[in-house]
Amino acid sequence: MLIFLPPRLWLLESQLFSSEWTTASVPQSRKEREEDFLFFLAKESAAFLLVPLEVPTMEDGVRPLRVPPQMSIYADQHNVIHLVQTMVSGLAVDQPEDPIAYLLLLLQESSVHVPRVVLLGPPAVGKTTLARKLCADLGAVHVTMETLLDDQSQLGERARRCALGRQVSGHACDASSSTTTSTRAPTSSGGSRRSSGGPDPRETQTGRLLQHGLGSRRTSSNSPAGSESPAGRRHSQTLLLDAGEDVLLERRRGRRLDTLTGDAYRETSARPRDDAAEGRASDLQRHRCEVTGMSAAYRHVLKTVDGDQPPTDVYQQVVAFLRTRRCSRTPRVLLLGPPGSGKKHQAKMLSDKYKMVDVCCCDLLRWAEADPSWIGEEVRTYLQHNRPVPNGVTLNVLQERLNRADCSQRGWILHHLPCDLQHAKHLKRSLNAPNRVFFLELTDAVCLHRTAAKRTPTDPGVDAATVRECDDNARTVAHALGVYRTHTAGLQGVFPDGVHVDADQDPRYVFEALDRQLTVQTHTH
Amino acid sequence: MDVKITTEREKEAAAYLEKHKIFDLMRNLTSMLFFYRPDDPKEFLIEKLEQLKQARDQGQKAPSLLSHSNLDAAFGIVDPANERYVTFAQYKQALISLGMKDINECPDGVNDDKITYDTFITEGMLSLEKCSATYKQP
Repeated sequence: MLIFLPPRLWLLESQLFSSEWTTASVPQSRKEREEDFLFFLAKESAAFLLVPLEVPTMEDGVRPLRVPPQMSIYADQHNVIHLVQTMVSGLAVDQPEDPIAYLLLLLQESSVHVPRVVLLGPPAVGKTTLARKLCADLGAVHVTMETLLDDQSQLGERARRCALGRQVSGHACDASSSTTTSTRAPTSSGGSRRSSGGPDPRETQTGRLLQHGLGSRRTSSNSPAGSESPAGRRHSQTLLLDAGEDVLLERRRGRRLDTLTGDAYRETSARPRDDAAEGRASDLQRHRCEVTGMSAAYRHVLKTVDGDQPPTDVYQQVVAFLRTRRCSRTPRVLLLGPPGSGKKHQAKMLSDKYKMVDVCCCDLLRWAEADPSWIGEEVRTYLQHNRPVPNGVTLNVLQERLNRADCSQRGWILHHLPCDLQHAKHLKRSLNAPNRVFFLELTDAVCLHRTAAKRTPTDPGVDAATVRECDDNARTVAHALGVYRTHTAGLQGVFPDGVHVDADQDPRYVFEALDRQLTVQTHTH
Repeated sequence: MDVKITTEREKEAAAYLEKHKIFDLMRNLTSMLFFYRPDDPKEFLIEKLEQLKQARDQGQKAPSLLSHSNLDAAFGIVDPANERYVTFAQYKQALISLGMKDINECPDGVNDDKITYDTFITEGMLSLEKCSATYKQP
């Protein structure tokens, strides 16, 4: 069907646009729902974008459409998925009259990787301190209720009037004005802004850090928390600082007394001087009510950091989180390690979690034999004559397996690669180059011990079914170990950005270490 | 879309996307992106969006992935004996598998169940233009 290439890429709508979207409306506390809604993109399982739909064929049959691997590789390389998601979310949230012009503006101006962070937390947990430091380091614009009120524009005027009105009459402020103010996210210098509501150019370049105090007395108690948040403004990361109640109460008390530093003064300036203990407790109470809703709403991009730590620790954790970006891509994982390091076990656990295809080189030949295509023919010829299958053919079998629809679609995890440098180089050069390589580190003695233990299925920790099907006598293991050691340096040269993981610990910890690395994008590729 | 739509604003957003044919637009753009695989995806998208804008404002042809030659090839597949006409069912199936929607159910020759090559191409090009014009029709 060469003539139908390129096929219309049938990005399965329900995959891209609906299951990757979860519309989470903040569960309202008591009042109106209409004001809050938040769109989220990229669920955890949204690592896989291209799901072939079934295409109706000429013969009234239905044939699954195979997406060529070049397209997945291209998508990964240029982060196309993220780009498309940004575009669609921008359109859905802003709803401009002219979507084409809007998209042109979006593509030409903003960089999609600018940090947009929301900082949440109960009163007195240390948000302002953290926010100031982050803004200084990241160069982002710090947006708080004060800066919103300082804004020179019309919306700022309205917000100020509202705030004053609230203080005087005690009525709830119109939540929508504060919402719209925060969505416009002005800079503290109140520059001019495009009337169509596009983002302020300076902020677009540098990013935005929105600090929001839940349960603080400044916010109207009648408005649901969601409306104070940047409802409708997409942001990429959310931080929730949390600490125990007694710690917070303690800190608050301390804050009131210390009027020397600018920080403390700002906190106390907004509340009446005779802040009794009940006032503090009620703020905390409000926060606790709202926080579950907010956490649920933001759960895909949320990280909770314990505020009851030294400030430097908090800061380090936060920066580490902000530097990582969730990337949606088809995982192509290569696990390398000496025999007995648990590659098969880890591969199984990872593939169960991410629904990847678990490709084992030991089973490759068996799969090839059963395969009806040309590769199966070749392998069968060798096996029928009881000859060992040469390396070249094994390479081809591997490539063919990785090119199949299920592998290119769901991703694969390859373990027990024949430790041949030629193999590794070939794999890297091909279309199926792995985008995550892990080296499991283990000393020789432990390897030998583990392989010996594996051979006795009475060991309760080892499932008899996972005993390796390759030859298991000690000599072979020692030989394989020797081969692996000689090739390690070469392999590390072929995959310079491979991650070394210590395999000499509980499998669960190893799994966690691998898992963490899998979703982190630390380099552009 | 099997997303649970609960609030008013979500409904508005869904209606907006429907009205401006955003899904079709995205589908077209990403198909072109993945076919041509340019080195700079943003530039490429900008170029295609400019073309689309001109198509909308000045009535020019909108950018699309498929062209006359693809339709030609599709006809060739359905008509291997080179009889220069196909049945209505084949005509419809061919256009559906090329990704067209809004296919004209009554092209010339439907009564005899003989759609000629020229009709096929004409109808195909019309559907193609409709699919590529992913903006709100005035």
